[in-house]
Amino acid sequence: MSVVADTRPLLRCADITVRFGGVVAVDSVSVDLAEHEVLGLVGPNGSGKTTLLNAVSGLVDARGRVEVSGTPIPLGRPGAIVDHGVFRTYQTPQVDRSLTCMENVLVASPNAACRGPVGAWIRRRAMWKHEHERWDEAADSLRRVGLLDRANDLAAGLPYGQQRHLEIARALTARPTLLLMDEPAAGLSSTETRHLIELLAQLQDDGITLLVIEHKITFLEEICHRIVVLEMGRTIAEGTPSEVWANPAVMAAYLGEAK
Amino acid sequence: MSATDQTQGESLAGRLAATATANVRDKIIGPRPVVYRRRQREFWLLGAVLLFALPLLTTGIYGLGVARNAMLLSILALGFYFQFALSGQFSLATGAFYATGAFTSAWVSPHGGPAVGFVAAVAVTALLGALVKLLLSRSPLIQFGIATLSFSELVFLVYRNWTQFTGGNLGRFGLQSFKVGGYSFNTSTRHYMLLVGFVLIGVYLLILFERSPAQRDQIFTRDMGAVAKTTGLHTRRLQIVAFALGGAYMGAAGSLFAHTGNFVHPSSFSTEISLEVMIMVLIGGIRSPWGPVVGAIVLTVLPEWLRPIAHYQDLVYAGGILVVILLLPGGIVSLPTVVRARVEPLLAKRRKT
Repeated sequence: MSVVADTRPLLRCADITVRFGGVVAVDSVSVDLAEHEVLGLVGPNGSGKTTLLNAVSGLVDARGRVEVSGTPIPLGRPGAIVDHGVFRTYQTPQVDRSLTCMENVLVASPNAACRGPVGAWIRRRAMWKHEHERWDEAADSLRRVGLLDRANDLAAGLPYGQQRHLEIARALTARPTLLLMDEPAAGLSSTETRHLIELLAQLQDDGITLLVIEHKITFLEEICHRIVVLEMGRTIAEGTPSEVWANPAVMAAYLGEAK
Repeated sequence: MSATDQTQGESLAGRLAATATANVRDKIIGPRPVVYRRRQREFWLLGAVLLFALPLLTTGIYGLGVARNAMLLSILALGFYFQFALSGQFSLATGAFYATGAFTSAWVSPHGGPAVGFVAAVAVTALLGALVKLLLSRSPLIQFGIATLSFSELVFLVYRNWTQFTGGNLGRFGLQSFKVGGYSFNTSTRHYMLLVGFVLIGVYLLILFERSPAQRDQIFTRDMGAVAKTTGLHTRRLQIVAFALGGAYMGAAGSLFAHTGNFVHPSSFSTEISLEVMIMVLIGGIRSPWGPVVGAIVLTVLPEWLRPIAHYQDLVYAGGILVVILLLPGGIVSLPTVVRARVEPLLAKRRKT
């Protein structure tokens, strides 16, 4: 807790509530994230982890407050938080199967110059210049996740685990300050998981703050500074990995049931 | 698309033989997106052939009229390609944009000539497209289609009654022909040549669009919806741009219609055009900038050829559309790729034995 209390949080979620009809999926959850922190978000299936992430990224309507470095973010508007450097990945990899890996990554480039019809038709020379920069950025992201040799293959041809990596490459290209990841290790082999842990450690060294939803305990222990446990849409525990695992409520709710 | 098609088409033997060199070559080429390497040469050749051959396929002054119609519909179809194929927006307002372009050009051209009319038509229809999409930006696919249909009918109603603008029941006639320098495009043949030029420019602009970041942003927005927003794309703006560009193409077609026919009348335009154009794009192919042109030409010329078998004309026409949709989901332009994928393994097998 001390890490959070001392500094102004990079991300502050206060009293986030999400309702689907009569069901309260997230019930006034508050989470703070300090800069350079790696926070794990855990809980049994249906505990509201993904919904919380969706609320933060504006994909579902929510009540409460979300702030990035003190700036309030309007809720229920996908893309609003993106302008503040917060990007995300999805539980089921969301890649455009009809585009190549390279193109899937290029769309996230923060370089917006000459990307429309003016660049295509009138300012073609300038478009090429910016396009070369974008290719370099995208190639770099693909290299980091180990997909550079498949740059020009259609995303549809990638196995599941690599689609996940492609999504991470896309998020990296956007140069996030905070990256929200929804079960990045799900469906990965142990070798792939190892690579992922190394990658996340690198990201942390680059100064990217991470919020990771995950089930794999070893994974969480290795990368997370702090863990928040949700159950039935409420926070039931919060602390360092060892503190959280020792918590009887967590044992009962999470470990006892899901694993 | 083409990258996978090609690998599927290669035989095992050919692939084994090429493996060593191919691996090295891929590394050297590096990660330049594959769209920038797509070759279009054979299509340009086809375009040039079309320029001279199409009026020969149909005969006389009447044949030139059919050919002119095919070119106008090609430009409309290119506009629909922007809206539907690239941006996933299903619109039934093609006819309304076409009419708006024609009447705007007819109304403006007495003050400054057809070229000014053309520019005005393009500007007005682009603006109208942006406005329509802005108003309907929250409507999902089918609702959007129905809304554009209503918009289209409204536009036709207004044009039938707004006599000052459209000439009402008399229409507008005696419209000038396009002039470049001292050369006037004032005969049927010259009208046709002018239209072919515009079709080729239209395709060229689409190819430039494809070879630029613009197309991938559009496709990602079309396919991914809200996810595209969370990757930082301004999806609403992108969709407005695509719809406006499509509208501008249709407006250009309207202006060309006015100044190559010398006569526009409210009854020249109907929702039927919108449906026709949609079918043309679907039949021609929605994965290539040449698809709309091929579709427009085939579906305009085919009924003329079928005239001798008048009784079976509709049967062949409807059956043909069904066959294309069932056998060539990529449209008529995908025929060479499909055939190559079938034939190449056979040839490779023969070479081997």
